[in-house]
Amino acid sequence: MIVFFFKKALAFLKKDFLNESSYKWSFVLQFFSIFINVGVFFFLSKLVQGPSTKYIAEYGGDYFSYVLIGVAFTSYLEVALNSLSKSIRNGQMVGTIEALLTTQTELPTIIISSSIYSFLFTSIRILSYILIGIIFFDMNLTGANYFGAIIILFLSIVTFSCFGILSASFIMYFKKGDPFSSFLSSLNWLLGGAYFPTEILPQWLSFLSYVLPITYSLKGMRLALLTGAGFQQLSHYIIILLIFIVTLLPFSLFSFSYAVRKAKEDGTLIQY
Amino acid sequence: MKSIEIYNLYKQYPKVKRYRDIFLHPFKKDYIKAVNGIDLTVEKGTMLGLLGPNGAGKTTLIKILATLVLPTSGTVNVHNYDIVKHSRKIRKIIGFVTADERSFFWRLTGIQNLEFFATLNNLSSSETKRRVHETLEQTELTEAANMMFKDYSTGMKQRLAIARGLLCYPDILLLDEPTRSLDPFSAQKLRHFITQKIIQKLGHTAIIATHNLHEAYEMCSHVAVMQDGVIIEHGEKNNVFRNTITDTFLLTLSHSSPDINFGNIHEITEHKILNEHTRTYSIITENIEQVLHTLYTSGVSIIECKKEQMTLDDFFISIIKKNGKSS
Repeated sequence: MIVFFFKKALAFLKKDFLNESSYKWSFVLQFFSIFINVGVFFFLSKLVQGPSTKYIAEYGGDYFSYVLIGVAFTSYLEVALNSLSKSIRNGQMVGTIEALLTTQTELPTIIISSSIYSFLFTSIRILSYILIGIIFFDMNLTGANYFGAIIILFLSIVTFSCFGILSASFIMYFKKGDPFSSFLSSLNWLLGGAYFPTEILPQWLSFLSYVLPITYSLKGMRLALLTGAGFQQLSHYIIILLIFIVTLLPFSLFSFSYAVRKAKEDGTLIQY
Repeated sequence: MKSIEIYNLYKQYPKVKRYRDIFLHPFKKDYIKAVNGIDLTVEKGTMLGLLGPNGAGKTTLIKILATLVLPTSGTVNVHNYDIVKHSRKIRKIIGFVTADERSFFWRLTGIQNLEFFATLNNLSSSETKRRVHETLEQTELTEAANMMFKDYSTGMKQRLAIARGLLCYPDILLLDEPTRSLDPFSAQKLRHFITQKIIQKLGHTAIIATHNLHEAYEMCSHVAVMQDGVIIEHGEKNNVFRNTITDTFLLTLSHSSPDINFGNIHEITEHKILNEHTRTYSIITENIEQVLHTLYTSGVSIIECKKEQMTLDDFFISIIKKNGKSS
């Protein structure tokens, strides 16, 4: 069973790579944009110096490292949030979902496998961000707790995938206007702390940021990578992310199976 | 042996509500009946033509069999497996061939597309290689295997869809309008290819949904005619067509010829004056020789007598007349 899953996931990965790389100009341009983005963050960080860095003192006080990790990982979590619903929507629009559903592969495997390429590509992008930051812009990750960062990353991906599954359920049934990805995505960028610490927000907005899992993901990730925080310091963030998962996962899986059944009953599985 | 058994099958889709109805009747549900009580059995090795106009319910029935749509009520068994409870097992038995060319990945080659779908059908790596090679050969696409799908002609795309349907040795093939959007020559070629090289050679049970009367006649051993979600005629092809089809002929008379008194020619079941100026008539008869003889002996001079192909409309009208139903 697991072997079949990996084989199928690999088949999707190969198919998506072949498809994406056949658009040669766009494929090359995506890598080029990584350099541009890192450069923008570097020069932006020149503006954020002196007293204003007191807000990020707990993460080492370097705004460039702060924003690079914030933006890189928020993009990563966006993939977890959006890729499932995008793969359904894309399959419905392009017309491949019907053919996929008549194979001996269940819909959840199809959806999860369809998002692997996005995850892998974004991972490469994030690694490139960090490598460029270290090589060209003196980003310092020598004392990082990489293992802690990986745990935070894994829990964050699962948490965001729960929202992703809810978003996919919505797209499966209503086809358009999914509130999870668009609304949550905007909130993540505004209140999650990708560009600035949530402490500078007015108190009522700052309170809202504590309801969002991204706040804990980014704080935990920055502490692990920029200050080398140990598991005791990270445990607070790990527990909160686990609570999100325990609450959201059963609900999102139930919603998805309900949406698939309803779509099959209504004959709208492949409609868009 | 029965391949497919359908009992009392109903399928209704919810109607999309207008804003006005959402506000005025928020809890009222309206439905469109797509399949309205079908009983049908398909014996192993049969090639059944599912014939009917647009909206008759053919595609819904095919999609129910392909496990893409759940029935509202009724029983559908494929090789004794219930379609709702054992959909995964049924997908092993069925090869679904859709005419929709969008169901492929356009920027992948034919071989890459087939390899991808073979993996999703749980074929091992060695089996995948072998089956892809075999099905490409069966569908005469070996030479085009490394061409991107987007560069295929419509006929090649349809053949690749058949290759995909054959990948995991299905016992039953479901073909949804396989010659749609093909020119008459390519359609004829594909029909011949499906019947001679696929169905007869490999011995599949097949259901082909079509609104093309001649396609059903040419390809199938049995025919089920659908209208408004019900099967109005079902049986062996020759029986259905023999009981239904009466030949239509176009007669053109010379200008000097006297008028025909159709009332006196009992072999003519129906007639129409198509063009008074050119003196062209359309007549429906089972005995054209007798009609021509009667006309000749009454002094009518015939310039041309042409047999017309019966249209699907004529066929349905005949069947409805025969069944005493009106649509």
